[in-house]
Amino acid sequence: MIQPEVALNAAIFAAFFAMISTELMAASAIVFKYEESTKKVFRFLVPIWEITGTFFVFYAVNVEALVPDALPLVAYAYISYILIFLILYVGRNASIIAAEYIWKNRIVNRKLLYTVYAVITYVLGILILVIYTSLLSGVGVNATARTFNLVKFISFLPDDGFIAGSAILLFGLGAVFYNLSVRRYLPLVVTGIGMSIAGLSFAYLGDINTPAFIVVPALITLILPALWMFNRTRQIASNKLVFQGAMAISAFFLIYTVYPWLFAKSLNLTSLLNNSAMQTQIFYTTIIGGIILVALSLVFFRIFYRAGDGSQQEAETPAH
Amino acid sequence: MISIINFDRFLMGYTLAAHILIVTLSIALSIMVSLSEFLAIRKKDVYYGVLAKRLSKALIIFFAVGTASGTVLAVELFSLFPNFMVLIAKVDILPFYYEVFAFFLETICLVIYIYYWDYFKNRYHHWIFSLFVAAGTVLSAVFITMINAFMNTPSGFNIPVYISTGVLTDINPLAAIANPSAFSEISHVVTTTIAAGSFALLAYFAVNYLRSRNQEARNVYSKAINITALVGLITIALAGITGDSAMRGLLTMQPLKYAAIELNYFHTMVNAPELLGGIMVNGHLEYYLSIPGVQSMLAFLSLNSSQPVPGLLSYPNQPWPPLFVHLTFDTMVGGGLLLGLFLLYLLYRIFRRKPLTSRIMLYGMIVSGVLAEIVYDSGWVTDEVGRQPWIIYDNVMTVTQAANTSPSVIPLGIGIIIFYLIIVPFTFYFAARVIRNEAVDKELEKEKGVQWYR
Repeated sequence: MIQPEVALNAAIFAAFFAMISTELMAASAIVFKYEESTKKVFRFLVPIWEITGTFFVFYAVNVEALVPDALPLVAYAYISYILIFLILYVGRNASIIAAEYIWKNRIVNRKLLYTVYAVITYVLGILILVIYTSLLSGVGVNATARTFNLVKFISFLPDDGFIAGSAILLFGLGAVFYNLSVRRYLPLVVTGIGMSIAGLSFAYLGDINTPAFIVVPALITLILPALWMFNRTRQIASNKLVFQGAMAISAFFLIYTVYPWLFAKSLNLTSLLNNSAMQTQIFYTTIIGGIILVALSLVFFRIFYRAGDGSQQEAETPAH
Repeated sequence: MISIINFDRFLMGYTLAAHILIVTLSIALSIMVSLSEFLAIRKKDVYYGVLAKRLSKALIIFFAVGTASGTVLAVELFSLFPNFMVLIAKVDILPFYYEVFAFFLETICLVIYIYYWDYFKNRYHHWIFSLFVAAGTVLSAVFITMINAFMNTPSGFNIPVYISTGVLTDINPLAAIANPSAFSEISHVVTTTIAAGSFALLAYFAVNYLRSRNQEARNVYSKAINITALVGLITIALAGITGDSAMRGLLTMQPLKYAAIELNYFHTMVNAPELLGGIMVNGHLEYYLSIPGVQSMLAFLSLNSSQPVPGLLSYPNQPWPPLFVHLTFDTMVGGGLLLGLFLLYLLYRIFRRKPLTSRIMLYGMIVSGVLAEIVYDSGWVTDEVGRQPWIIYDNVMTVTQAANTSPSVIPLGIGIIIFYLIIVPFTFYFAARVIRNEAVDKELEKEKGVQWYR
């Protein structure tokens, strides 16, 4: 059975994943279908991108509180990636806020700035995936010397497969979430290909402990684009709350499949957990803070839907 | 050649200074936006309405970059000082965790406040979200300061055992939060932050008033100057009181830091003088003005105290902090005093029903805006450098013990420094440009057309 503090951490990651995935899907849409994005993507992306950043901080602080002894390893091994991440993160915020408020339409215009944001978001996503995938496979990481070798990491095919598969998968799901005008079967095909590559690679990363749970993310990932194919069920699939909830559940069960292992089953996560006094405080704070967060989110979504930014009117747009 | 540890130190200080510039404005803006909208609703005054809208645009821009620079700092803490964060994570990470929820309150309410401005028919419902935004920003400052207070006066674990063995025992996270300097530091940081931000805004409004050619725009900026001056006056007065209390707290909680800040080049002294200026040259104090008895009088609030103040020579075996903190302290106190006097004069003019917008007053506001940032940064330098070489006072952990010594920090750290040199001025320019992009007249016309003003 998963320990409560780890379950909470997984739940926070799942919520963060649900948020960041909407941005990664938006990034694809902005790059490939900018005009359509101005109508369908921005009305959701513009109010929520700041909240995604907050979820990132939430998750990062929770990790620090959960496994403090892992911090020196992460700090030393990934310092280059962390500092690149930080530069890009500031760039992401600056480019999207500039895109929102820019008053000119010359060389530096709204489209260019949104494209810069999209590219940066994609690179940030890849950086996060590189760190996570390396923690799962352990390839390229020397825990004793606290170093990370990118060449070794890339040379291990399941590492690449998991990253590439995830990118393809999100590319496919983007059309569903933002209800883009593409052929109705295309998201299912693309998502299916992405899921097969990512799923197979995930198995070869070497941490799977409870294989049965992998059925949950696999099914959810395929059901959403399948529902989107039919006019009657399209509205359900592209409903923002339903979709993000499904993404969060998928991520949670994906983590559960590997729990408690890291580094291809050579590191047991429970051996790194923080002292009980702090864990107790963190647990109760997360519960109380979580209730406040859920209440705030409900207020936000209530206003979002009432203001007419929900998926209803988008869902009526027929696909080709 | 700079060592990696000193580079870590510089990078952290540099990004913190940049973040402080943005955050002081974000906090002050959140308060001004809330006040302006409240007055707009209460008085049905379109000028305040326009002011709230214009400032809210700047707020979201500063918020966007400020959250990113805040995240940079949070991540830098564990990546540049991993051993420090290990200790914090085990003993005192709760304030960071509380801050996350304050951050959520601020973010979600700001998103609703800005992007759904016209959604609310009852304007007070909309205004309430601005209150939550302001509360979220202030609470974030409160929680972060709790961590800084822990670095100055650690508690919540067995310190002697940790110093002798390196093992953390008897951990009590709640005691760590309620550390001895927490209250005095929080009250001082919150009031000075709002004061510094208010002065910066006052300078901005003064510049715009001087540049405005039409009366409508001047009306908007004149009202902005009035409420900002009021907030500045209240907070600078509170900053003086809380600063005095924080300084006296150092006497018992951080006597070495106190001695360095006061440049007390003696063992202990009764009826000690206050030194203005002064540097050490070859083991001698030079270039200072001594005011007899004033230091002891301020320290013990008594004209004839028999208690001694601590001096540097009582700590011959401990590394002293760099003594230039005395000069940064003098800058902070002297500058703060000037700002307070200037605001008192503004208050006097308000009572005499004289306008605050005479040319000389406006130039005074511009100077005070710059001075406030210098004062505020001097305060932080005094606090942080005064604690050196300890990252956690006293003998718990040095910066050297905490720092990341990977050489990879340097090239990418330089990248961050260069990037900040571009992004911070850009943020200020962009926010100012966005605000004045639409003419005040047009905004007033739009605002007058809104139903609820009638």
